[in-house]
Amino acid sequence: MRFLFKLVDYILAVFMGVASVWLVSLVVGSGWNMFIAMFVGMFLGMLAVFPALLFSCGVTTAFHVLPVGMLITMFTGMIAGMAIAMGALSTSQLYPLAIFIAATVQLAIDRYDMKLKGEVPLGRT
Amino acid sequence: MAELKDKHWWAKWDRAAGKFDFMNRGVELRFGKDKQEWFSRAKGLTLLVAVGTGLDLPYFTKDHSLVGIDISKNMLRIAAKKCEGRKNTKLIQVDVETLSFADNSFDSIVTSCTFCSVPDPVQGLKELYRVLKPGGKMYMFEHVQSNIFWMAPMMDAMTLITRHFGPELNRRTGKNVLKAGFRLTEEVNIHLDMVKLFEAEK
Repeated sequence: MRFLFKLVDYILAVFMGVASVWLVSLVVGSGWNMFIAMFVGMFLGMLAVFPALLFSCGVTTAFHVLPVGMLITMFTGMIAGMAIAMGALSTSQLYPLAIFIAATVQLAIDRYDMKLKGEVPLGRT
Repeated sequence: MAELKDKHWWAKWDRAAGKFDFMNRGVELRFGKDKQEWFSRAKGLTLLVAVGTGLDLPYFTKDHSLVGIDISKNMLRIAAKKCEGRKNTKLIQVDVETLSFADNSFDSIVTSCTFCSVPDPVQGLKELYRVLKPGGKMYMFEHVQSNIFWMAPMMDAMTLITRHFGPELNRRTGKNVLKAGFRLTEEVNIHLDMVKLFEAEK
Protein backbone atom coordinates (compact mmCIF):
# COMPACT_ATOMS: atom_id res chain seq x y z
CA MET A 1 0.00 0.00 0.00
CA ARG A 2 2.82 2.35 0.94
CA PHE A 3 4.46 1.67 -2.44
CA LEU A 4 1.19 2.41 -4.25
CA PHE A 5 0.82 5.74 -2.44
CA LYS A 6 4.37 6.69 -3.42
CA LEU A 7 3.64 5.68 -7.00
CA VAL A 8 0.56 7.94 -7.00
CA ASP A 9 2.69 10.80 -5.59
CA TYR A 10 5.26 10.47 -8.37
CA ILE A 11 2.65 10.10 -11.12
CA LEU A 12 0.91 13.26 -9.90
CA ALA A 13 4.22 15.11 -9.63
CA VAL A 14 5.09 14.22 -13.23
CA PHE A 15 1.58 15.14 -14.37
CA MET A 16 1.87 18.58 -12.76
CA GLY A 17 5.30 19.19 -14.28
CA VAL A 18 4.24 18.17 -17.79
CA ALA A 19 0.90 19.99 -17.54
CA SER A 20 2.60 23.21 -16.48
CA VAL A 21 4.94 23.08 -19.51
CA TRP A 22 1.95 22.39 -21.77
CA LEU A 23 -0.04 25.31 -20.34
CA VAL A 24 2.90 27.70 -20.72
CA SER A 25 3.55 26.55 -24.29
CA LEU A 26 -0.04 27.43 -25.20
CA VAL A 27 0.42 31.07 -24.21
CA VAL A 28 4.05 32.14 -24.23
CA GLY A 29 5.72 32.55 -27.60
CA SER A 30 9.28 33.12 -28.77
CA GLY A 31 10.31 36.74 -28.71
CA TRP A 32 8.45 37.54 -25.48
CA ASN A 33 10.19 39.73 -22.95
CA MET A 34 12.12 37.33 -20.66
CA PHE A 35 10.80 38.69 -17.37
CA ILE A 36 7.20 38.77 -18.53
CA ALA A 37 7.59 35.24 -19.88
CA MET A 38 9.03 34.11 -16.54
CA PHE A 39 6.17 35.53 -14.47
CA VAL A 40 3.44 34.44 -16.89
CA GLY A 41 5.09 30.99 -16.98
CA MET A 42 5.14 30.80 -13.20
CA PHE A 43 1.49 31.81 -12.90
CA LEU A 44 0.25 29.52 -15.66
CA GLY A 45 2.38 26.65 -14.40
CA MET A 46 0.88 26.88 -10.94
CA LEU A 47 -2.61 26.47 -12.38
CA ALA A 48 -1.66 22.84 -13.09
CA VAL A 49 -1.95 22.10 -9.36
CA PHE A 50 -5.73 22.50 -9.37
CA PRO A 51 -6.67 19.65 -11.75
CA ALA A 52 -4.18 17.44 -9.88
CA LEU A 53 -5.94 18.29 -6.61
CA LEU A 54 -9.37 17.57 -8.08
CA PHE A 55 -8.48 14.28 -9.73
CA SER A 56 -6.52 12.93 -6.80
CA CYS A 57 -8.85 13.52 -3.85
CA GLY A 58 -10.07 9.91 -3.97
CA VAL A 59 -6.59 8.42 -3.60
CA THR A 60 -4.44 10.99 -1.86
CA THR A 61 -4.68 14.24 0.08
CA ALA A 62 -4.23 17.92 -0.66
CA PHE A 63 -1.37 17.85 1.86
CA HIS A 64 0.55 15.46 -0.39
CA VAL A 65 -0.22 17.37 -3.59
CA LEU A 66 -0.02 21.07 -2.64
CA PRO A 67 3.52 21.54 -1.28
CA VAL A 68 5.10 19.41 -3.99
CA GLY A 69 2.87 20.75 -6.73
CA MET A 70 3.47 24.41 -5.92
CA LEU A 71 7.24 23.94 -6.16
CA ILE A 72 7.19 21.80 -9.31
CA THR A 73 4.80 24.00 -11.25
CA MET A 74 6.48 27.23 -10.16
CA PHE A 75 9.91 26.05 -11.30
CA THR A 76 8.84 24.32 -14.49
CA GLY A 77 6.51 27.18 -15.40
CA MET A 78 9.30 29.73 -14.95
CA ILE A 79 11.85 27.69 -16.87
CA ALA A 80 9.39 26.88 -19.65
CA GLY A 81 8.35 30.53 -19.97
CA MET A 82 11.95 31.74 -20.27
CA ALA A 83 13.13 28.89 -22.51
CA ILE A 84 10.27 29.37 -24.96
CA ALA A 85 10.71 33.16 -24.98
CA MET A 86 14.41 32.79 -25.76
CA GLY A 87 13.80 30.00 -28.22
CA ALA A 88 16.38 27.99 -26.27
CA LEU A 89 14.35 24.79 -25.93
CA SER A 90 11.39 23.37 -27.81
CA THR A 91 8.30 22.10 -25.98
CA SER A 92 9.29 18.50 -26.69
CA GLN A 93 12.67 19.17 -25.07
CA LEU A 94 11.01 20.80 -22.06
CA TYR A 95 8.84 17.77 -21.19
CA PRO A 96 11.76 15.52 -20.11
CA LEU A 97 13.16 18.45 -18.12
CA ALA A 98 9.77 18.86 -16.39
CA ILE A 99 9.72 15.15 -15.56
CA PHE A 100 13.21 15.41 -14.08
CA ILE A 101 12.29 18.48 -11.98
CA ALA A 102 9.06 16.80 -10.79
CA ALA A 103 10.82 13.62 -9.69
CA THR A 104 13.62 15.57 -7.99
CA VAL A 105 11.24 17.83 -6.06
CA GLN A 106 9.09 14.86 -5.01
CA LEU A 107 12.18 13.03 -3.79
CA ALA A 108 13.39 16.10 -1.88
CA ILE A 109 10.00 16.57 -0.19
CA ASP A 110 9.90 12.86 0.73
CA ARG A 111 13.33 13.15 2.35
CA TYR A 112 12.27 16.29 4.22
CA ASP A 113 9.07 14.59 5.36
CA MET A 114 11.11 11.70 6.75
CA LYS A 115 13.20 14.21 8.66
CA LEU A 116 10.17 15.99 10.17
CA LYS A 117 8.05 12.91 10.83
CA GLY A 118 7.59 11.82 14.42
CA GLU A 119 7.30 13.32 17.84
CA VAL A 120 7.83 17.07 18.19
CA PRO A 121 9.70 18.11 21.36
CA LEU A 122 7.21 19.75 23.72
CA GLY A 123 7.52 23.49 24.01
CA ARG A 124 8.18 23.95 20.28
CA THR A 125 4.50 24.52 19.48
CA MET B 1 -14.78 35.56 11.24
CA ALA B 2 -17.79 37.37 12.65
CA GLU B 3 -18.90 38.07 9.10
CA LEU B 4 -18.83 34.38 8.22
CA LYS B 5 -20.81 33.53 11.37
CA ASP B 6 -23.50 36.07 10.56
CA LYS B 7 -24.03 34.39 7.23
CA HIS B 8 -24.63 30.93 8.74
CA TRP B 9 -21.06 29.80 8.35
CA TRP B 10 -22.07 26.15 8.59
CA ALA B 11 -24.13 26.35 5.37
CA LYS B 12 -20.98 25.47 3.40
CA TRP B 13 -20.78 22.19 5.34
CA ASP B 14 -24.43 21.41 4.66
CA ARG B 15 -23.67 21.90 0.97
CA ALA B 16 -20.52 19.76 1.15
CA ALA B 17 -22.21 16.82 2.94
CA GLY B 18 -23.15 14.88 -0.20
CA LYS B 19 -19.61 14.72 -1.58
CA PHE B 20 -17.78 14.76 1.76
CA ASP B 21 -17.00 11.03 1.89
CA PHE B 22 -15.54 11.03 -1.61
CA MET B 23 -13.53 14.22 -1.04
CA ASN B 24 -12.02 12.75 2.14
CA ARG B 25 -11.40 9.24 0.86
CA GLY B 26 -7.73 10.03 0.31
CA VAL B 27 -7.33 11.31 3.87
CA GLU B 28 -8.81 8.11 5.29
CA LEU B 29 -6.68 5.92 2.99
CA ARG B 30 -3.44 7.64 3.83
CA PHE B 31 -3.93 8.61 7.46
CA GLY B 32 -6.58 6.11 8.60
CA LYS B 33 -4.09 3.84 10.35
CA ASP B 34 -2.54 6.75 12.27
CA LYS B 35 -5.97 8.00 13.26
CA GLN B 36 -7.12 4.58 14.42
CA GLU B 37 -4.05 4.12 16.61
CA TRP B 38 -4.33 7.61 18.07
CA PHE B 39 -8.08 7.50 18.71
CA SER B 40 -7.83 4.05 20.33
CA ARG B 41 -6.31 5.88 23.32
CA ALA B 42 -9.71 7.46 24.05
CA LYS B 43 -11.38 5.80 27.03
CA GLY B 44 -14.81 6.00 28.66
CA LEU B 45 -17.50 8.40 27.50
CA THR B 46 -15.98 10.13 24.48
CA LEU B 47 -17.07 13.31 22.74
CA LEU B 48 -16.38 13.04 19.00
CA VAL B 49 -16.30 16.63 17.82
CA ALA B 50 -17.39 17.43 14.26
CA VAL B 51 -18.39 13.85 13.56
CA GLY B 52 -19.36 14.97 10.04
CA THR B 53 -20.65 12.10 7.91
CA GLY B 54 -19.25 9.58 10.40
CA LEU B 55 -15.98 8.84 8.61
CA ASP B 56 -14.23 8.35 11.95
CA LEU B 57 -16.82 6.02 13.50
CA PRO B 58 -15.07 2.83 12.26
CA TYR B 59 -12.00 3.84 14.29
CA PHE B 60 -13.92 3.14 17.50
CA THR B 61 -15.16 -0.23 18.71
CA LYS B 62 -18.90 -0.76 18.31
CA ASP B 63 -19.51 -0.70 22.06
CA HIS B 64 -17.48 2.49 22.72
CA SER B 65 -19.65 5.14 24.41
CA LEU B 66 -19.62 8.00 21.93
CA VAL B 67 -21.39 11.31 21.62
CA GLY B 68 -20.88 12.69 18.11
CA ILE B 69 -21.60 16.36 17.57
CA ASP B 70 -21.71 18.43 14.41
CA ILE B 71 -23.10 21.78 13.30
CA SER B 72 -24.37 20.44 9.97
CA LYS B 73 -27.75 18.74 9.83
CA ASN B 74 -26.99 17.20 6.42
CA MET B 75 -23.73 15.69 7.66
CA LEU B 76 -25.45 14.19 10.70
CA ARG B 77 -28.14 12.66 8.51
CA ILE B 78 -25.45 10.69 6.66
CA ALA B 79 -23.61 9.84 9.89
CA ALA B 80 -26.84 8.44 11.39
CA LYS B 81 -26.89 5.71 8.73
CA LYS B 82 -23.39 4.64 9.80
CA CYS B 83 -24.48 4.37 13.42
CA GLU B 84 -26.59 1.26 12.84
CA GLY B 85 -25.46 -1.41 15.29
CA ARG B 86 -23.84 1.17 17.58
CA LYS B 87 -26.06 1.15 20.64
CA ASN B 88 -23.78 3.46 22.62
CA THR B 89 -23.43 6.18 20.00
CA LYS B 90 -25.51 9.35 20.10
CA LEU B 91 -25.49 12.13 17.52
CA ILE B 92 -26.35 15.71 18.43
CA GLN B 93 -26.51 18.87 16.33
CA VAL B 94 -24.71 21.57 18.28
CA ASP B 95 -22.11 24.31 17.82
CA VAL B 96 -18.80 23.45 19.52
CA GLU B 97 -18.48 27.10 20.59
CA THR B 98 -21.65 26.87 22.69
CA LEU B 99 -21.94 23.29 23.95
CA SER B 100 -25.05 22.32 25.88
CA PHE B 101 -23.29 19.70 28.06
CA ALA B 102 -22.62 20.14 31.78
CA ASP B 103 -19.10 20.82 33.05
CA ASN B 104 -16.82 17.76 33.41
CA SER B 105 -19.11 15.46 31.40
CA PHE B 106 -16.65 13.49 29.25
CA ASP B 107 -13.72 11.18 29.92
CA SER B 108 -12.11 11.81 26.53
CA ILE B 109 -12.50 14.07 23.54
CA VAL B 110 -11.56 13.29 19.93
CA THR B 111 -11.30 15.78 17.08
CA SER B 112 -10.48 15.07 13.44
CA CYS B 113 -9.84 17.97 11.04
CA THR B 114 -12.14 20.08 13.19
CA PHE B 115 -10.32 23.21 14.25
CA CYS B 116 -9.53 24.23 10.69
CA SER B 117 -13.22 25.04 10.37
CA VAL B 118 -14.49 26.36 13.70
CA PRO B 119 -14.80 30.17 13.30
CA ASP B 120 -13.44 30.91 16.78
CA PRO B 121 -11.16 27.96 17.55
CA VAL B 122 -10.05 29.15 20.99
CA GLN B 123 -13.67 29.57 22.12
CA GLY B 124 -14.46 26.08 20.79
CA LEU B 125 -11.46 24.61 22.60
CA LYS B 126 -12.44 26.45 25.81
CA GLU B 127 -15.82 24.77 25.62
CA LEU B 128 -14.14 21.38 25.19
CA TYR B 129 -11.95 22.14 28.20
CA ARG B 130 -15.08 22.92 30.22
CA VAL B 131 -16.88 19.67 29.39
CA LEU B 132 -13.82 17.43 29.81
CA LYS B 133 -13.33 15.83 33.22
CA PRO B 134 -10.20 16.91 35.14
CA GLY B 135 -7.36 14.63 34.06
CA GLY B 136 -9.29 13.74 30.92
CA LYS B 137 -7.50 13.74 27.58
CA MET B 138 -8.20 15.15 24.16
CA TYR B 139 -6.85 13.40 21.04
CA MET B 140 -6.64 15.44 17.87
CA PHE B 141 -5.87 14.78 14.21
CA GLU B 142 -5.52 18.21 12.63
CA HIS B 143 -3.89 19.97 9.74
CA VAL B 144 -2.17 23.19 10.74
CA GLN B 145 -0.16 26.12 9.41
CA SER B 146 3.28 24.97 8.30
CA ASN B 147 6.41 26.63 9.63
CA ILE B 148 8.28 25.84 6.40
CA PHE B 149 9.25 29.29 5.09
CA TRP B 150 7.88 28.85 1.56
CA MET B 151 4.76 26.90 2.61
CA ALA B 152 3.44 29.34 5.22
CA PRO B 153 2.69 32.25 2.80
CA MET B 154 1.21 29.78 0.28
CA MET B 155 -1.12 28.42 2.93
CA ASP B 156 -2.15 31.96 3.88
CA ALA B 157 -2.91 32.72 0.24
CA MET B 158 -4.82 29.47 -0.33
CA THR B 159 -6.90 30.09 2.78
CA LEU B 160 -8.35 33.23 1.20
CA ILE B 161 -10.03 30.87 -1.29
CA THR B 162 -10.62 27.67 0.69
CA ARG B 163 -12.39 29.35 3.63
CA HIS B 164 -15.40 30.06 1.37
CA PHE B 165 -16.16 26.40 0.65
CA GLY B 166 -14.17 24.42 3.18
CA PRO B 167 -11.45 24.59 5.82
CA GLU B 168 -8.81 27.19 6.62
CA LEU B 169 -5.27 25.95 6.00
CA ASN B 170 -3.36 28.30 8.26
CA ARG B 171 -4.64 27.56 11.76
CA ARG B 172 -2.20 27.43 14.68
CA THR B 173 -4.09 24.69 16.48
CA GLY B 174 -1.27 23.71 18.86
CA LYS B 175 -1.08 27.27 20.17
CA ASN B 176 -4.88 27.49 20.36
CA VAL B 177 -5.00 24.34 22.50
CA LEU B 178 -2.61 25.99 24.97
CA LYS B 179 -4.60 29.25 24.90
CA ALA B 180 -7.76 27.34 25.84
CA GLY B 181 -6.08 26.09 29.03
CA PHE B 182 -5.07 22.55 28.05
CA ARG B 183 -1.65 21.07 28.75
CA LEU B 184 -0.13 19.70 25.56
CA THR B 185 1.29 16.27 26.39
CA GLU B 186 2.22 14.97 22.94
CA GLU B 187 2.58 16.32 19.42
CA VAL B 188 3.45 14.15 16.43
CA ASN B 189 4.12 15.17 12.82
CA ILE B 190 2.60 12.69 10.40
CA HIS B 191 3.08 14.60 7.16
CA LEU B 192 5.70 17.34 6.98
CA ASP B 193 4.72 19.77 9.77
CA MET B 194 1.25 20.29 8.29
CA VAL B 195 -0.64 17.21 9.49
CA LYS B 196 -0.32 16.50 13.18
CA LEU B 197 -1.57 14.42 16.06
CA PHE B 198 -2.00 16.17 19.40
CA GLU B 199 -2.66 14.80 22.86
CA ALA B 200 -3.76 17.38 25.43
CA GLU B 201 -4.81 17.05 29.05
CA LYS B 202 -7.14 19.06 31.26
